Amino acid sequence: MALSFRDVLVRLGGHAALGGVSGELAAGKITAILGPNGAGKSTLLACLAGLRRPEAGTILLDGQPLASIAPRIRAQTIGFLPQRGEVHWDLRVDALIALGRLPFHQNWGQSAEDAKAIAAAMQASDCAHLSQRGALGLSGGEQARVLLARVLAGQPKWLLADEPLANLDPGHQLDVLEIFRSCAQAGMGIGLVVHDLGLAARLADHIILLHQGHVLAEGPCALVLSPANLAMAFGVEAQLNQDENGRPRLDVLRRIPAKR
Amino acid sequence: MKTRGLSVEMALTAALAAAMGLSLLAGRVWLSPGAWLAGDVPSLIIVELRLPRACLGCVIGAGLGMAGAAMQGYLRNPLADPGLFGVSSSAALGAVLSIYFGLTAAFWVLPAFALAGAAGAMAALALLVGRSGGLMVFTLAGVVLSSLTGALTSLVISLAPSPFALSEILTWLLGALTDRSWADVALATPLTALGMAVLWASGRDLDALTLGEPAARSLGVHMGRLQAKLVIGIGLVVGASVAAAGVIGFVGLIVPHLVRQLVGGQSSRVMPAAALAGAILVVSADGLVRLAPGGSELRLGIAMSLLGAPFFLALLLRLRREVV
Repeated sequence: MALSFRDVLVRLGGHAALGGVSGELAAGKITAILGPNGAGKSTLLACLAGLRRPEAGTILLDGQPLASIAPRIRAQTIGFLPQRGEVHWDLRVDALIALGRLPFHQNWGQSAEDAKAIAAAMQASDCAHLSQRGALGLSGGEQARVLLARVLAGQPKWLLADEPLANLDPGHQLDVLEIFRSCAQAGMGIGLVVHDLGLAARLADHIILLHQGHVLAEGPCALVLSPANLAMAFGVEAQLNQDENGRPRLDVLRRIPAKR
Repeated sequence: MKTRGLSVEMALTAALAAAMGLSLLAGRVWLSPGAWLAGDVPSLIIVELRLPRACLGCVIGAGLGMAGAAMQGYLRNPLADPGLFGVSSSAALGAVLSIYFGLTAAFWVLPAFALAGAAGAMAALALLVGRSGGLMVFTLAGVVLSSLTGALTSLVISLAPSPFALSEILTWLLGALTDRSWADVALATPLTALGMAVLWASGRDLDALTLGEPAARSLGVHMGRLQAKLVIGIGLVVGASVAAAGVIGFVGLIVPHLVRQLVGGQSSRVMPAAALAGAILVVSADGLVRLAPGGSELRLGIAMSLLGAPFFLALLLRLRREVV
């Protein structure tokens, strides 16, 4: 079970946003896509979600080209959480979460299976108590959890999220991280674009480090987040340490002055 | 917070039935409910004058209400209006041309020209935008189209061959249900029904768009196909309404807002309720127009704008308060 990409090339406005990158996301693991601004993280995620077709190269879902999979089946298999969670109308939270079931609807109305999936998603992201509220009246943290529940309601095998932790305060970041963790334990393959290096070090089983449209390094945390890679990609001096509980902790020490 | 179930829809249906019933009785001559069966002039007034008028108002109002809801859902903008695509102004141009050329002797010529105008607008939109499904290009194409056809309409007016033609054009442009017959109902109903069916079928895609375009696409929505459905559905509905009654503004803009207060923001629920509420609005506005004092009847298009503009201002003020 893998969602892999081979020699993916994407050009945006003349320059190569992704210059033929390859890699793989594994089921049951959290893969963090890291890189400085403009490295091509979001572009790669959009390709993996089937929202952008690369000019060259293929995305393979369990060995089958993603482009050959019907949109409905793809939508049932891959859940996508965009960067800025948009909510345009004041839907009630339960109706908003029910939108995650759209790829499964044969006709109008909700099946018992839909109701079960929605309830489970609300439980998983701790928003059952919000179900009768209007979505636009929620706080940022609540809204992020509700939108996550929307994706989970589709019970996807793969969950791709673009910066799901941005704009959340630390407590909510940890809540959402915990949800990702338990989804991965249940066998879901998770791909996250993350900006925060420290969070990435703590949550990811696997890291893909992008730099200027190329994969600079790919593998487990300790291997990828080496001082040399971090200096190259981000221009910072940083060190991967362990905290008192033996968990990885990344310390960013100082900016390396740009060479002239 | 919002009512579930179908109680809102049922209440709206009852209100529509009441509005239709009242509009049969109201007018320059008030009729009693028994007049229907009284034979002679009163029943003629009902069956040949007021009933087709009420039915046409119902069809047009329903179509415009639903088209407005679909348009706002698609653009995710509460200020969008079905006229935005340029379909209604193109249809109006077609109708005005038929008057200009003096082709109004046969009943079907003007509606046919109007429908041809609407079809032309739909084809032009399809050509301009292609299959990209991009929102910005699409909206801009619609705006360009409506200002172009608006300018052409003004050109035709300025070249009007006679004062009669001129006054006929101007009167027609204002939109009304006066003196409409069963033939108009027979023309508008199937086209509107077809258009509404197409819009109704795009309800789930519009629901998904609540989450924004990327999320909707990840849920399996094909943006190009959705756009095609909307162009066809709105083109049929608006084309039919302009062909039968001229340009009646504001219905598609106001009604979805009223309805959203009742059924919440989900497009697939707003659309049918907006159809019912649109029908109520047009039928009752047309009834009021008939009751207004004065020598000649107030045109429905004018009345709707007189009603609609203050409402719209109030809406803007409320929006501003919410934003601040």
